[in-house]
Amino acid sequence: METLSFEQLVDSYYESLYRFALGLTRREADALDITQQTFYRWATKGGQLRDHAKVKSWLFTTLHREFLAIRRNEARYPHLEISGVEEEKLAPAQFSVANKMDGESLMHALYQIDELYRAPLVLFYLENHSYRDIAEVLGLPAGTVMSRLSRGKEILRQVISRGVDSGKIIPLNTSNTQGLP
Amino acid sequence: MNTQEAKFILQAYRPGGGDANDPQFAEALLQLKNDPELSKWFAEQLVFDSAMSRALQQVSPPNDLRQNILAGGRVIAPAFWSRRTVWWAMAASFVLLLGLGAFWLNSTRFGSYMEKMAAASSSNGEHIDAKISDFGQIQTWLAGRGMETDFALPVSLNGVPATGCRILGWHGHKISMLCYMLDGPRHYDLFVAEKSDFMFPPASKLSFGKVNELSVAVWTKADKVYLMIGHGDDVLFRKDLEAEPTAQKKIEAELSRRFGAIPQTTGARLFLSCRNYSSVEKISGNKILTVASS
Repeated sequence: METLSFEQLVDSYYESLYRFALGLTRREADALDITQQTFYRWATKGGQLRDHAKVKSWLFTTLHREFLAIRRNEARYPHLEISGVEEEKLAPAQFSVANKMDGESLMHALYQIDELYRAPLVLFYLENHSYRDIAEVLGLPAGTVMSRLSRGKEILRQVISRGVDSGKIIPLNTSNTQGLP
Repeated sequence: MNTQEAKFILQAYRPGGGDANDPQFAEALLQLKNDPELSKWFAEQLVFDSAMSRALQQVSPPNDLRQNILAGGRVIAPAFWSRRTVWWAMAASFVLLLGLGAFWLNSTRFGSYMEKMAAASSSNGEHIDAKISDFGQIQTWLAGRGMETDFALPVSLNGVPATGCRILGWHGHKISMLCYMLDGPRHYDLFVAEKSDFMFPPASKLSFGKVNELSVAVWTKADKVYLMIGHGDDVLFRKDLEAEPTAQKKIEAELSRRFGAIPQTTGARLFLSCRNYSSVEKISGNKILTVASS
């Protein structure tokens, strides 16, 4: 695999990484932080990766670890940021995706799901990760990923259904069908 | 596989990707073709998944994220290890070091040392630097030239007058050489080096061999490595070194160690008298020599 320059790497992955980060963190500021931090980790350490075919996996794994580090820190020093409080009152207009209602609706639905299921779901819906990739990124057995995807999708359906009923989530267009494999 | 199990597995399946060849899904996919209800359920799943994916794709990062990442990347030094040129340089350096290391190991191995010393022992040129017969004086001469002198002669050479001595250089290390001409005729050169001069010094046990037709004996003691090269009868050479020291030789060695070389005329009487005793006392000048044989 051709070695990518830093800029090519950023162009290839920054959007997916940001979506994954946002799905994990719930806060845009944290998502931006860990996305940038992931690329800076690459700038300083990523070259040690021998197999360039694993760049994608390396980036997503690193981002997930960055998220876990933030979460550990918050668990050790629990705090409520002022911006977080404001966000609660002003939601859902705080995201940069305010004009993309379907995306935002999905995010709000995802945020109601435990992170155990949310992380594999986001990776799955980014569409460029197989369940084996997801297992590698999250450091889980493949069977566990299958289990969490199955359960996570079920919960997501329920959340979306409740959201539609309460008017909080805009229904998604499900008219398109895809052929069977 | 029942329908529930198939559903469980297919929840992780994404069509059109690498999953199609994953054997984990093979049985569940086969079941789809034979189970209309499962097939209907899966079609709905795909629609749901597709909608979720499209929704997620609509989440766009802030416009300045890309520029911020790139700007930050310029501030941080580019990954040292990722520079291809550095990799090539590292690889070339490694090969060079490997070559140098192999050369160094080869040149500093003990075999090479023995060959060099054997050549020096056989040299037709100046064989010794100083014609000194007394071991004590040899030690003084060597010490005056920065050499370690806390080495012990083999029993067969204790009290035997030397022909002379020399200092040799070998890969930056200084080697002491003591030359002995004994009856027989036997020409022995004893080379004394430091253990630390060798990456793999020989074992302490006395061992014999041949280098360029010359007899060699090697042993180590304390921090010294001894190499004796003999010109002459190999059997005699071995006998001289292997012979178990008699009580007399032990006493001679001890006397030599304590007081330096003893003139043969004085020593002969002393040695003769000690054969039947385990210890002996002798007045030498104003000193009382007390030696115990072990």
